[in-house]
Amino acid sequence: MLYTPVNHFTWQVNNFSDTYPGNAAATTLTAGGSAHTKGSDTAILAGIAEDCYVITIAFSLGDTTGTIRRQMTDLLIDPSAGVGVGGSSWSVAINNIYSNSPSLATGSSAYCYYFPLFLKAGTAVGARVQDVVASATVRFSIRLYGKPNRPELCKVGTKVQTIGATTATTTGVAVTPGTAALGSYSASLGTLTNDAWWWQLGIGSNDTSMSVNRYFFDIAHDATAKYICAQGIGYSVGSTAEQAAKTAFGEKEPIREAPAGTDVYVRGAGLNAPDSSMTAVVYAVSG
Amino acid sequence: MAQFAASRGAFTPVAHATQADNFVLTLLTAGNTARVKMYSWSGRGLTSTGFRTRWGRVNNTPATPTALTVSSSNPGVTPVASCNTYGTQATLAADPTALFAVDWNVLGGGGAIVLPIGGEWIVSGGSLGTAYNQIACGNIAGAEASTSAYTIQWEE
Repeated sequence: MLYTPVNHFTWQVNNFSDTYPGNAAATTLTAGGSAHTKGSDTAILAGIAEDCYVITIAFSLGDTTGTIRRQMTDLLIDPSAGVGVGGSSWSVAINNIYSNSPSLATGSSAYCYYFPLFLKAGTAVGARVQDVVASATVRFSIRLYGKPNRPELCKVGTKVQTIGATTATTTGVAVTPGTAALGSYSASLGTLTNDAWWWQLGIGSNDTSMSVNRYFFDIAHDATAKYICAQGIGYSVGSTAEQAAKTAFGEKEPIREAPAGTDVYVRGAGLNAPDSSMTAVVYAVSG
Repeated sequence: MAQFAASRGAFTPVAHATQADNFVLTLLTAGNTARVKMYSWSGRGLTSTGFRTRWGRVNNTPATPTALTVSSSNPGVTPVASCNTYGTQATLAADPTALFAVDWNVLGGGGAIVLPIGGEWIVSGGSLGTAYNQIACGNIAGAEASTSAYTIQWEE
């Protein structure tokens, strides 16, 4: 019988010493000294040894009981660092990656993203964060994958567009999940500037007393048809201590081709009544 | 995904050992990449003349760009990469080092290479002078006037 092969990656590197992301080996980022301002550029990984095809990110320890905590993190790169050399001249590869009270406490499993984005070998990786709270901290875990055994079967993106982020208030576009039912779609988060095919979602709230809940969110594009790009992305509040988590994938791989010029929307459902003022930011991978 | 093309037609190349200015695919935005999907060369000369053309990674910092017109396969998508020539021309490593090189005859010669999926040439964005952010095409031999053409297509 003819065999249809699959791709896997034979190289990876991370910043948490191959322990779980909650380990102290992960990098703690500190927000700027004023609310909603980026902190200093922080080196995460020295120039990587191989080409990178996938970036996974997990945020944790960015929660405070009784306090609204939302972050937006820029993923920084120095493409000229060289293999094994720390970065010094940073550029933004993915801007304003959204997180909301990200936690690894019981009932929460970090706030996760998965970006199939190419970085060449020798690129150093860094990050910087802003928070609703001045000088607040969040733990940043990242793992890069490379050396695909079947590169012809490995679709990888060339750039990422962030849609719906408002940095002045560290927030996204309002979305109101239904209670035990899908809610209505949000207003448009924005318009695709490039053809896109891979989707990621950030969810936030503005609630000092978050309720234990489980949510599922969809991303769609096209003002009329609302074609589903990603479905059933999980977001959860694991305790009454304002601790949240989010999955990178939903019910399936978040893949759908969408043309430049179309708008992007989000809808969601919660098992119980949603937290206050929930908002969404979408990340569209092109290439 | 969106693909783009730039071309030199009825072109008069400058034959040079290292300078490569038929065109230079350039990506200046860090965090972005572009993949070369196809490139071609062709001649319409009326006399037999040997040409040698190379495609390779730029190893200097060219300056003073002049942009070539870029065509887009997809409506509404603006390319991040550009295709240029330079006043201070791009250079390649000495021949035969190259991503690809070919000896051909401008008397009706030509070819087109479609790079395999997963085997594309990748340019990785960065400021001018950053390694791997430019791919150039130039002639080692062949400077006949207005008889050759060179095209590159890439994906973003």
